[in-house]
Amino acid sequence: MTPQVAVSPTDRGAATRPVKISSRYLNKRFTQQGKSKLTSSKNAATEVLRDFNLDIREGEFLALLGPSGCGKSTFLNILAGLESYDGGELLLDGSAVRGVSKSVGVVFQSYALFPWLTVQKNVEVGPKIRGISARERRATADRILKTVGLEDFADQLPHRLSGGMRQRVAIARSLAYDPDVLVLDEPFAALDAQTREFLQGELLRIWESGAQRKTIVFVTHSIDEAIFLSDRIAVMTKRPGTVKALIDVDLPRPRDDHSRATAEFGLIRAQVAQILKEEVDVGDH
Amino acid sequence: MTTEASRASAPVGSPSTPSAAVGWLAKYDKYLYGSAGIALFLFLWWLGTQTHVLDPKFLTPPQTVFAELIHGFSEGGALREQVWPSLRRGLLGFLIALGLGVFLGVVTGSSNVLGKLAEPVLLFFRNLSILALFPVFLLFFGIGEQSKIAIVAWAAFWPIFINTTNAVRGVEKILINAARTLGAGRVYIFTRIVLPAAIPNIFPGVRLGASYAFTALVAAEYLGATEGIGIYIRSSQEGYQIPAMYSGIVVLGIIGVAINVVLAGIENRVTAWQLGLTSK
Repeated sequence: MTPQVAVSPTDRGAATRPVKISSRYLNKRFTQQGKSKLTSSKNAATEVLRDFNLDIREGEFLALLGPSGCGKSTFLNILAGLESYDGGELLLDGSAVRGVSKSVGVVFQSYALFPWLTVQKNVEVGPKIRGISARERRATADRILKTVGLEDFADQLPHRLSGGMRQRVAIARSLAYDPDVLVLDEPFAALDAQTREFLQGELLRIWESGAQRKTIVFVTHSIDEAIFLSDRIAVMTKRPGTVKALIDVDLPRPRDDHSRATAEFGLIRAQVAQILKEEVDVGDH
Repeated sequence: MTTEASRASAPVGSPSTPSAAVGWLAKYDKYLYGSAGIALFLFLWWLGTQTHVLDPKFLTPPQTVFAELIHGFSEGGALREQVWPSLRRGLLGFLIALGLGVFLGVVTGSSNVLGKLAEPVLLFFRNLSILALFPVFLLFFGIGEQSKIAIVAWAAFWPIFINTTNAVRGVEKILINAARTLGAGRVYIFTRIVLPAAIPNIFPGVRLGASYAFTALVAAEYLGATEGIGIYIRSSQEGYQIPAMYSGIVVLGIIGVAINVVLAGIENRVTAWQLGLTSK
């Protein structure tokens, strides 16, 4: 077992920043209805998260890494307010998360763009729901589409765009109402390797260009992606999921393709791979 | 950036046409063949009656039906008075069915419990002959306009309702979740997310409903009406006005085609965003 890796102060003083999201002994079970015939008990419940503890600091880029089915997406859904939890507590800015809130923006793996709306209108949905005037919405959308480099595609329908561009629209859409926290659920998993690396760089550029850096929780099962993007990596155990190790990524920013080739990058990768390997081995028995 | 942009524009450039003439033919060949088909049908009809293979006493030759149509629609003609009453009943019943069917379909489709509750009842009614229900409608609404509109609405309701229920069930959960995270409430999700996402799959039911509506309309008018194309056809037959009978049938057919064209036009407009997304 690898103990929690000691927090080393980074050049930007990340450790001293206030806690934005705090998860304390968070528990989540799924009651299975369809599969109950397979198991002996009638109300078979699967424990997805057990005593999930994690503090995420303000303005931090945190990657949540773990084997598939470990509950990382479930944690994200709870944080986004899409799912409830069964025990423990999840605090955002000190108050309990109950349902969706204005402070959290979500980017899904499958983009989840509204196919009948143009890129521009998709980006405007959030502000529109919140009653912002048409003129202001337009200005916001224009600005954000420029940020993600899609200003020329504002009037296209999403399915006219490539997967990478669609995901940038989804990012733009969740940024349009300026949430404090952005959660991304394996956003680049469905893309080809080249596009994925390009978008990783883009995401960092967008994040770093913001006047006030947003807190980002990025779910992934790619070690390289987690290292390249994040300030810290939370490695999860198999289901029922809990945080097994926290690893600081002290690679200097801004990062580029050279960051991937540094010795430090390789070291962290080996370390994380070892932790993950233990998890997979444990599960094989 | 550039590689991505070029990749995206690839599907936009649809297959180029080798020459303008072939393009023209490809564009209009549906209508070309369609017109030829109609001409062939009319010719066979004419030939059959001309050679007495088909008895012209029972099957009026096309040119006579055409003349009867002109006559029926001229000033003071009997047929032109019948179109509006029928059309009004048909459209009114259809619109009632459309409103109720879509509304109840969205509600039923959004709730698992409601869906399960409704299923056996649905199965019972959707397969029940509308003719069997005529006495019930007469009991409730009498012999006048109301019972006819109710029958039309009933017939059109089921396909619209069932298609809407299934279409709503088929809406991707992730779209609803995305809307929720953007702050959407119940009403917004129903009207702005579920409905547009389901519309492409609702439309086949709407078209079927329209066709059922006019089938039921004629049956309802046969029951007894003072005006309407259905009763015109029937009383023409009873009075041995065979050409008039056929002219009524032709008018009904044309109304059916017209409604289908209008609905197809609306469907194309409403679901235009799907172009390139599906095989359409």
